[in-house]
Amino acid sequence: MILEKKKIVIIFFVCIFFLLGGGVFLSAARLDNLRKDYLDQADSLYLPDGNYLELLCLDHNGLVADLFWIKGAIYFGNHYRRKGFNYPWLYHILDLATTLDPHYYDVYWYGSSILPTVNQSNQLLKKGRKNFPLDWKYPEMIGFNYHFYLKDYLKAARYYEIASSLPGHPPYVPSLSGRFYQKAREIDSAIRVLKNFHTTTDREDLKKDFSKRIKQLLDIKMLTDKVELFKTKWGRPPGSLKELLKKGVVFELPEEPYGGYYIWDSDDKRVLSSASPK
Amino acid sequence: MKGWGFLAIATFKEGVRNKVFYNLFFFGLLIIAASLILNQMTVGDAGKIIKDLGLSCINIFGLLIAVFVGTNLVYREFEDKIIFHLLTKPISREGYLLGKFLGVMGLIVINGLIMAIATSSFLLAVEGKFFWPIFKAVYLILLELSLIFALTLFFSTFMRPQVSIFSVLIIFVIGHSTTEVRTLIASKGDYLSKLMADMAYYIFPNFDHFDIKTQVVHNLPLLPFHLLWTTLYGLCYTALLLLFAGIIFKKKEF
Repeated sequence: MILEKKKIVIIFFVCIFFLLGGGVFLSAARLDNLRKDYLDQADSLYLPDGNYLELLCLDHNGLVADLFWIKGAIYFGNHYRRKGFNYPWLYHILDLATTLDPHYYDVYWYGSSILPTVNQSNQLLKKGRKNFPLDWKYPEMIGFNYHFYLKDYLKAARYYEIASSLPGHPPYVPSLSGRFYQKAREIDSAIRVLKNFHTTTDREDLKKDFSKRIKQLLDIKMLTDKVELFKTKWGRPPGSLKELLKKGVVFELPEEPYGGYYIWDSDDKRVLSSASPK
Repeated sequence: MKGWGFLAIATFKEGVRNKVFYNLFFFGLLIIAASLILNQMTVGDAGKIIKDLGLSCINIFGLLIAVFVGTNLVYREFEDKIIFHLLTKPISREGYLLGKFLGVMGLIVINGLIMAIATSSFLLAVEGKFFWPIFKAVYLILLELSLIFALTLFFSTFMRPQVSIFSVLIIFVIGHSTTEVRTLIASKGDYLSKLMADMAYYIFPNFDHFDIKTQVVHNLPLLPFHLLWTTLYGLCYTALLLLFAGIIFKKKEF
């Protein structure tokens, strides 16, 4: 009789165990399903102000910044490829991580390439530039954003020029600065950047290459001035550079250092070299 | 060896047998080990999270040991009347406090060093090199913990343990935030708030001085003599608190 009672108690508890276990499993599965909808409610994400959060971190800023960086990566990953979604909180998350740990290189570097807008990317990179003032990569990346996405060649050239004044920059940086100054019709600035690199570099091969580039720009500048002179004299731009010769504005056309020739682009109204891309 | 030396060894041995110490110690190690998982969830520098989590664990679990284990070890002797037996031995009351302080500090130092070695070993596994600068940060954390334990001991001489723990934790929070509060109030607050922030800044221990985690994690140079001045600051403050604790404890009637 006692054994029977014991059996009943055991069976009862086993049943209770499975019932409660099943309840936990079912509710967890249902909650997992429901919580997917929270992805749409990205605006409900609560993020405090960085300055106040710094106070609450009690000198464990680095660790909290790590957690925000992980949160940012997960937030990006969860919404990646979703049509029309533009990560409204991503900048704020990355801004918090870099406010708490201003030397968090990875957040600036990887973060700037996953932010939804170029302006936000530049904002984060400019913050990084403040904290890494000697790192050429930040102004170089900002310059890239300006020339590639925003098509603002003057600003791009200026940032490339800043990058080319910092230690460790590769030779393509001053070259890009010169190219974009030229594209923005700032030939004097382009010559200045290239001359500066020419005098500071120790590499003979680069000196030789930059001499050619400087010569090309000086020629273009001289020919542009002569075109302006032509315009004031005859009230119209020349049909070609050979017309400058014919009318005696120049005595000879300079030799293009890369083996090409100079042309007057009447559509763009500028002197170009056939050896350089437009 | 003098009486306080024997007492320090006995306190250390008693602490090692303490269950709370073991719980905190293994839980701390477990969290440091969890940094290997967190590491997989991020992009970029593989070692940063391990360094950050390791240093924060050494600091937080050291604080918990200093406050909870420290208070427990001291207060239990008052509560169980063991203090009467001890004070009949050839040891002064100041010597008793010093012995207790050194014993618990031994515990905190061993805990901190083991956690630092665990963190460095994980870094060795992930980055392929031993990260020595972590010991600079650990040194200052241990110095900070010695100040916190001296504070605990000071409060324990005239407060109930719960009140003592609460007071130390409050001072820990204040000591870690006075610099930021002062900066925030300086730009926005009124005269009275500024005065109060200034007073808090100078009266409470400033634990910010002991924090070089950012510099160590990012391999940034330390300011010249930072370690030296912080050592002086920590030792003087700790000695001052122990001195006050000794004066109060000497006049205490059981």
